[in-house]
Amino acid sequence: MGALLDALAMLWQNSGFCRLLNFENGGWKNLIMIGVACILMYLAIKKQFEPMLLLPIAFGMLLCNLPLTGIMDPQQNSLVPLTAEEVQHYLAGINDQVYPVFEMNGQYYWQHFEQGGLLWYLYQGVKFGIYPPLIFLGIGCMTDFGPLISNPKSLLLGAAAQVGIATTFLGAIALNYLGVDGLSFTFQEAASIGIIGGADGPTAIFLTSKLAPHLLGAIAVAAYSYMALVPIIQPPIMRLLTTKKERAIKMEQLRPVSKTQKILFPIFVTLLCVLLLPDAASLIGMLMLGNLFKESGVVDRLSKTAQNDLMNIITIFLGVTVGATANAETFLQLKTLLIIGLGLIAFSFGTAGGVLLAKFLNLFSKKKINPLIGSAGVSAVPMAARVAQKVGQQENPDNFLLMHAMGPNVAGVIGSAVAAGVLLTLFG
Amino acid sequence: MLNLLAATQPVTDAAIGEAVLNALIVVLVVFAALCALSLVIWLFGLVGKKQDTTKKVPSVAAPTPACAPVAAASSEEEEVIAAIGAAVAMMQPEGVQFAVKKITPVTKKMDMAIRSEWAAAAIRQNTMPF
Repeated sequence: MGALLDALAMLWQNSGFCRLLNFENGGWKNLIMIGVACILMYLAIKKQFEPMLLLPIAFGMLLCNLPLTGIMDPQQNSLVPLTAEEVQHYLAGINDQVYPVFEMNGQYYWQHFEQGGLLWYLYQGVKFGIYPPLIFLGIGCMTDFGPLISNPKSLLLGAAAQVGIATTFLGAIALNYLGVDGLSFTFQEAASIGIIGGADGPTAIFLTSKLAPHLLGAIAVAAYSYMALVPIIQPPIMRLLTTKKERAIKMEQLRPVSKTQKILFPIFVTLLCVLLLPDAASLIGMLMLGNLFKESGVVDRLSKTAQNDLMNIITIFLGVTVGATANAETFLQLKTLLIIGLGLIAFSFGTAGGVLLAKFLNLFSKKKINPLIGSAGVSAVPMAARVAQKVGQQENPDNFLLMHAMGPNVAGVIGSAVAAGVLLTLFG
Repeated sequence: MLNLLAATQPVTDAAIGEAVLNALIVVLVVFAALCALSLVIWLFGLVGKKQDTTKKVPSVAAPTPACAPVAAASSEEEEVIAAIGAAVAMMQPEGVQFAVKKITPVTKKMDMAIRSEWAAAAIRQNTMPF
């Protein structure tokens, strides 16, 4: 009976439950993180907040916060000194060691190798900046740059919406002057927080993995949460900055765009942007390659694979592994709350930047632009464009802004990738 | 070169001026890149227009009316008339009797800025966001 109880006690000691309920050892932190993961899963499933990414992110978060799983543990290589007996065997040529033996300063060591967790291996795709550009390849295959080519002014609106990145970067740096312990941000961290304003998940992940990998979980969660909340965040800002008359402006139908223009566009964008910012090559290059697949019409199979199978596979890997970086130690900090707050500021300034530039352009333009489409400059394709359409139709049910808003919307994708390239050049 | 402006340590006491300068660089470079792209696209448009004008050929003959009078409709046109009649019926309150007496094709060249009711209805249907 005693042996049975001992075995049961040992089983309990080695279980995750024991570790989780050991509050003195920080088990409560894991419990909180499990709670956060469950809330995110609820938002993804029930409220459908960006479920394609929020669901794997939340589940990755859940997995990495379950104690003793080692699912996100890194692979380890260490040198273990050989005992005198093992050295004798080694020198006599009777090598019992499976692993390689090294000699350093007269001492013999064998290389001990410990396998990493599943998610750690998958995480290497994030760490080395592989997944986000592959996601961009798929996005490129799905994006129609026609509205943008039809109305080149859209690019300016897309650029203006990137103001949110710069202002949030400054905001994060300004927080350092409060002098609160643990609330200072390096330039790299501030740049990673600022990119949330680009409202482009893969770009945010790409830049953060290069500049501030320890903030990856918090920034990814903030970026995708705000992208899902675009219909709630943007309309009040859009209404605040525009008059009823401006919101009711009807725009002319877009001119048709020829196939040749659509084919040349990705080639020219790649040449121009990559020559200007070589660091943006992986994001812009993949985005434009995907678009060229689509527009050329000669590689239909590649286009379909990139936008369906490949993108879905990468989305799973990216989501789960980014979520798995949000462990209790790195996530449960005051900084995380600040990042979420700064992310909201980034979104708001981005929205305001686009709307205000559209109003400014109207001062000089004969053909009036509905300033609402400027808000779509914050990427978040196609949600931000839909929001512009919805707010516009509230003023005038016969006003169709969707295609006009798609211009700044896809310009925002290019703009945020360019901004990421600049930040990488500055702080990488 | 630009790396000179970056710091790797926490910037609690670093000059905010550096941060402002970096922020300005970000905004300016993004604007410059997208302005240059905008210019390239504008040039695309010019080339496209030029090609259109050179390709234009004079019309050979006046087009025949697309739709004949109802009385003389062929079987294919009858189907079109039936579809239009059904669509009109859908828009009428229930129980109201009506008859389609005349269907004439739109001859006025459509202004790019103005959509017909049908086009507007289709777009409304397809762009309803939420």
